[in-house]
Amino acid sequence: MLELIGVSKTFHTGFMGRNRKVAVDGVSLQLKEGEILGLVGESGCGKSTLGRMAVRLLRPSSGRIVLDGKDVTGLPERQFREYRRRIQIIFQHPESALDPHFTLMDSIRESFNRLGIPKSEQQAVLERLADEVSLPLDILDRYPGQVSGGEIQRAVLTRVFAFKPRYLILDEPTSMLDVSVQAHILQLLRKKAREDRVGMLFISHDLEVVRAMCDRVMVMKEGRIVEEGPVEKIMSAPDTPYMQVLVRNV
Amino acid sequence: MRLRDGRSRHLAGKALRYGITLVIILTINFAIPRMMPGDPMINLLGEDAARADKQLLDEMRAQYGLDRPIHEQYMEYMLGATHLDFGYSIHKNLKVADLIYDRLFWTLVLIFPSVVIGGLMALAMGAVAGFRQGSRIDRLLTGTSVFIYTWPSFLFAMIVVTVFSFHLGWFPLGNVSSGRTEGVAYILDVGWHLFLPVAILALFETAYILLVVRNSITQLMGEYFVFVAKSKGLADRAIELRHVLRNALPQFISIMALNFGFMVSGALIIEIVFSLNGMGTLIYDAVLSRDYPVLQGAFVYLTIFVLAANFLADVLYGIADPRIRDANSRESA
Repeated sequence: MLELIGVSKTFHTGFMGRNRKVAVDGVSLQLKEGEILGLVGESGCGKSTLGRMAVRLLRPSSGRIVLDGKDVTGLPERQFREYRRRIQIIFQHPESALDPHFTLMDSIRESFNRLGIPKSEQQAVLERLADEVSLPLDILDRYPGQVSGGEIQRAVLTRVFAFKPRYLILDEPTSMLDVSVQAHILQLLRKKAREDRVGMLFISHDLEVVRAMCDRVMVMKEGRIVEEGPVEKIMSAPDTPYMQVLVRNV
Repeated sequence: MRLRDGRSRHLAGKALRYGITLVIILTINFAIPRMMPGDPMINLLGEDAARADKQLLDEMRAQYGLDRPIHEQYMEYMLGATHLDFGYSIHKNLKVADLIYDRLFWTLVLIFPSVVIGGLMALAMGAVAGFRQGSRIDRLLTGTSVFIYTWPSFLFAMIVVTVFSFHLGWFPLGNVSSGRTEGVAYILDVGWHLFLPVAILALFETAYILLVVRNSITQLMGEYFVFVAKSKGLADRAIELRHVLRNALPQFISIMALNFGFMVSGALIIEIVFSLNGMGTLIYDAVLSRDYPVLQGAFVYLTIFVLAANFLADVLYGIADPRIRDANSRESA
């Protein structure tokens, strides 16, 4: 289980860091294996900051991150690297998620090398994963700027699935893709969660997609969780006026 | 094969553009001295000019071809420029090309070590500052660079000369050598003479380029692909070198090339402050004496060097950024 316990994040901005901006304020959540947990809220409410803290790309200002029973909050980066393969993140903008100087193949192979997959086996692993995410092999010698957003996102999924992660943080993974590609990627992710028991934190502001994807939903406003519960309950009869407005506007 | 064809075509296109630029610059170079106030013949005669009759002045103008229609002067100038022949100096009565070869060597001896040392220092220190954004070392390097960059180079050079050469006597006051040594001793002597001017030029190059490299790296450190590299579990050093620094290289090369022109003009000023017999003092004297042929010749040589540096940067840019190289090969396919 991935647990965030009372995590907060404060950014210091302005001259000499005098301005304080509390992006996340004492949020707790539990993500079980195989579960898809939705995190909704308007832009700037702290969803992405929370997602980055979950994979420790940002250090929380306070609170704890517990991964499969191990408190990894203060773990030195060198030691945390071993935990990184269990928890991966997919970003909203596929075109900037891959190094523009690396071909798709280079980016994927870098992950394979990091995982210690022998060179002789890499092609077979690549073909299996590419087949799983419907990634055409003939585009792998291209750079991210030379392929479509959908193709990049599939390459990203290939890279991510190679790690066999236990948890995935999905930061609006399909919001920049066209509808047909979006549907296919969402289907793929849902299948992964169900078949391989991957826990997913699905960050989105698209309530229709959240309804289709998630088991449970948390609603975030100004850095805090204001409501949470099963997806059907939250979508049909939300308790808070904030969520009622969001649902009405769908 | 296709890739090589693509690159050749790309470089040929670039070379053509540089050729057109050179023709435009040559034309401007021809026009500007002629638009300056004053008469070079009167300047040449000095105090005798007041007593010189009109016939003598006309004869002298004819001797230098200045009496001919402007388009004829232009054609002759352009023909001469194709084999770098700019005639004779009005003031010194020596071949312009010989005068320039003599001086250009020392200007290049001044510029190239400054560019290389300054560029490498800027890349290394800019990278350290960018990777450790907000740290003490970042604040120290950035603050020092801004402080140096805001100084006029000639003022900085004059203070350095006053302190280190005049008062402390650690370095010579002028010239490129003492003229009494040979072999290795001569090289060391030249190094001693050029230490301060090279150090000042390199320092100004470092100050400016460091800021650009630092900003470029800071920006790249916030890119998603850097987060992704981190989530792959790569070590910080690997991310910094393989993903961040590599992406910063094309911009570094561009700014080095753009700054080369400023380095040349900076070197000319430094030469005047340090009384070095390079292109700077040659141009300075030529401006004072309205020596058109020398001015034109000097500017053309410097222009060729700046354009060549930019062309080299284009070639290196293609090597540093494989997307450009591959895009070119795809275009040609």
